[in-house]
Amino acid sequence: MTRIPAADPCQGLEGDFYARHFALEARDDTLILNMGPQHPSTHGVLRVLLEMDGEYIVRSEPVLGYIHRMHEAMAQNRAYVQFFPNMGRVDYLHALAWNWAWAGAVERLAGIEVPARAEFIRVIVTELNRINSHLLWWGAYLLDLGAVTPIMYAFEDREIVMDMLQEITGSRLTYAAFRFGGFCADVTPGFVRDAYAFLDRMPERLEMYRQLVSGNVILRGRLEDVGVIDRMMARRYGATGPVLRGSGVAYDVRRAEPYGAYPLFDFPVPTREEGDSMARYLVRMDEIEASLAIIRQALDGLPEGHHLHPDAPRGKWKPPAGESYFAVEGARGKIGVYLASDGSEIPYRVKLRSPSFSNLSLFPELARGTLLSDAVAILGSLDLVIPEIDR
Amino acid sequence: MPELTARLGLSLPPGQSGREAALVIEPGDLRRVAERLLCQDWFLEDVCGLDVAEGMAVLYHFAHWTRPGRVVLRVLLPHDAPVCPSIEGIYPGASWHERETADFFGIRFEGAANDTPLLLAERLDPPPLVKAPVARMSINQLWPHGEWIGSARGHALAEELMAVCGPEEEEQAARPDGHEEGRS
Repeated sequence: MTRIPAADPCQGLEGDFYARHFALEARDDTLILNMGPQHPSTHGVLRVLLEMDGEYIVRSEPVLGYIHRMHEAMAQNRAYVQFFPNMGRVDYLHALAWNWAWAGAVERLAGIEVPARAEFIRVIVTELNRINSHLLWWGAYLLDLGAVTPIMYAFEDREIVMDMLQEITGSRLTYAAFRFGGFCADVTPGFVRDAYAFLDRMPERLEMYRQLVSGNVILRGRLEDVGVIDRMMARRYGATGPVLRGSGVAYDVRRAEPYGAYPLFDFPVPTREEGDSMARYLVRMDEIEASLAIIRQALDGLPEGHHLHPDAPRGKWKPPAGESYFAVEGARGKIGVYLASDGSEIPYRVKLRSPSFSNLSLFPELARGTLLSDAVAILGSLDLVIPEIDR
Repeated sequence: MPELTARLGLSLPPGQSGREAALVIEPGDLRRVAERLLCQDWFLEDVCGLDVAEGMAVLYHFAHWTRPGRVVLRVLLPHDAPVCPSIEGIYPGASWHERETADFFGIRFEGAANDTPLLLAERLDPPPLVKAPVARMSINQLWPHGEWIGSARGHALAEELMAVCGPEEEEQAARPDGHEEGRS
């Protein structure tokens, strides 16, 4: 007796696997639209399937995995220190926060001490990197919304920060600068001088950005009351970072789970009550100022000492068996690294918790019933980095 | 002993490991415990698969906006048929995490509305993060004897979780002998 295969439920529908499955539940009078994976406002290779009723979104589904590189499997076939370059490539915009998450997880597991000077250097470079990330988001978001000029201004500032970070880390974008027990290099006098100059320069620039863009009536019309996330929705989806703080929750890992030298610094956690795209925009602009305040305190109080613990492990070494979890505040939200070790030279299991992943997962619920052009505004306001989502 | 807490092993961390309490629970209790955690305002950080000698473990990490600490739910599934109830009805954000875990570990999440691959183009056999049987480590090595399993007396957060995750007062009142369920 021959077995008759079950009929394909997607028979007669157009498109690839995902499009056909998505079209299964579509109404007769709607249009299935592919946004991405090569759409400029999806910042990389995110693809969103949309079911459109005229200009309104009935249903949507993000399709992920176009730049999936399986970092978690790569972690399982290399020495602990060899995983730092991967960390620079998970979120290329805030690479140093991922560096910190990996270093922190291993240090917590093995009980490695970090000198005070190294902790301060870590704070300075990570906050500089955060400013850089927010600046790129700012320029690119406005580009999505149709304003071409701001990204040129943003890159002018970014270049300064990248030059500074290049001086001590040796790279401009994909940093692998942290080490277990410290930082790869000490700050140079030139770096400190440039950092102070940057701190003096930025308030003026931010004021210009505020006058040029933030109060713009077209921008406000596009962003206000668009994509409102309430607290309950943020909790159910595990949203963190500026997305959560834009909904009025002052949750910041630097405060909630203090790590490094952050407890020593006085800085605000900006929040907005509205929960719309404009609130998320304003939170990020305020965060740039908060980062500047942290950097100034860290530069002023930079203690003497080693930038790397003299007894820090080098090359291949074996941490004890066990597990640890370490979370840091990235530019997009809570970055978490779960590490399980069997006591050998290579990690047993590494799990990377990426903030964009959780933040994007609320998009289908958020986009329902909005206009297509609002979907662009919402996606941009989530500040997505696709390599971080796909990992 | 209330019905649920009797099956709820609780282990405490030996020191600073980034988590406050780890609950070892049966798959059947997962949805119920997740529901209680949502009511206590915990949010889901991630769902992490872990292949160990004793079975396929799934770790659910929870954190809180206003309270310090991290709560881990540990579920251990058999290697030959790893099936776990889905909690996407309680935490919709869990849906993607579960699909990712299904991609990498071949775990089936029962009750999920969408079980198509998320990050991989298709199901791989064997799933990419499943270990060779000889390479698997034991949970005794990973969660060492330094942390004990037993009743949670003496640890504030653990005691609270035990109270919260056990059956409600009314249920106990309705079932004084605790064995009514499943008899009718």
